Amino acid sequence: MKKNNVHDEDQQWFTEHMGAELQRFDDAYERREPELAPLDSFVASHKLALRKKLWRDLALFWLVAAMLLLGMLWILERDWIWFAALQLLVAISAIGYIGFVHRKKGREQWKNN
Amino acid sequence: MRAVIDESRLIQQAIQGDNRSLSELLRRHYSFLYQYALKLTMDKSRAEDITQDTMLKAIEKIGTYRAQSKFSTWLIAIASRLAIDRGRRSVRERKWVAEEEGALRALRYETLSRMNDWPDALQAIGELDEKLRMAVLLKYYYGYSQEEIAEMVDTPVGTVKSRIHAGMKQLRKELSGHEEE
Repeated sequence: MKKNNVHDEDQQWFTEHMGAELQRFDDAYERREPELAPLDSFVASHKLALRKKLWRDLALFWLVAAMLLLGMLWILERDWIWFAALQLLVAISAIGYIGFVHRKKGREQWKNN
Repeated sequence: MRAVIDESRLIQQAIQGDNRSLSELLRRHYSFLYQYALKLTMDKSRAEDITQDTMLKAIEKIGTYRAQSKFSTWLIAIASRLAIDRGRRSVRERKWVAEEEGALRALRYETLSRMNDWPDALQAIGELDEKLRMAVLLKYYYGYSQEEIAEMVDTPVGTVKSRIHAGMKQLRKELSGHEEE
């Protein structure tokens, strides 16, 4: 069961006081290996579902990208100042959002450690 | 030796997309994974959920597995991270403590019928906070180093070290209390 042969006092204490009981517990809850055929179809169906989801996400991404591009081109054609202002606004918002997410993630990690 | 060679061949084929090899690998590690999840959560239904979700994640991520660690280590790392995420969610939903106590009682009841015994060691490990239990089990039962554990659960080494220390301190205290009684 053990990967490394670590010998220190804590290891020795753990082996003496907990090791055998945990091993008995493992033995008591040992499970039979599942049949290969149902597991095989489980793997195949999950992979298929993943592939479908990937294609759906990709299609959605292209649809949104195309709509954004068309919208931007339309604005650019009407008034380039509006186009520049919109670009600037999007850039500032994106930087702000990334900074906020980064700070929030860092704080959560600190709290959870 | 043959089993090791077989496993590395299965891993290669699974990474290349062979469903049968991946199924065989998951089948071989199913019981090991469930036993780890059960010791980690001390809750049968959570252990079943974590086992199932770990297998789903393994199917999803097999293409990214680089075989630098053993397949069982990779599965343990996935299961540990899932347990941490679920624990975080349950704390947020404020239903953690009562559920945990109920699950431990249920496990104790079932273990009594399976082993005719509920050892103090199991009670003590069941009373540990899950993060401490995880660190102690990975270090002293599965024999991983602190650095390996830190990498597996994506936590700084110092944090792992202090969890192991706190876990062992509580275990010693609990068991010496039981011995005195």
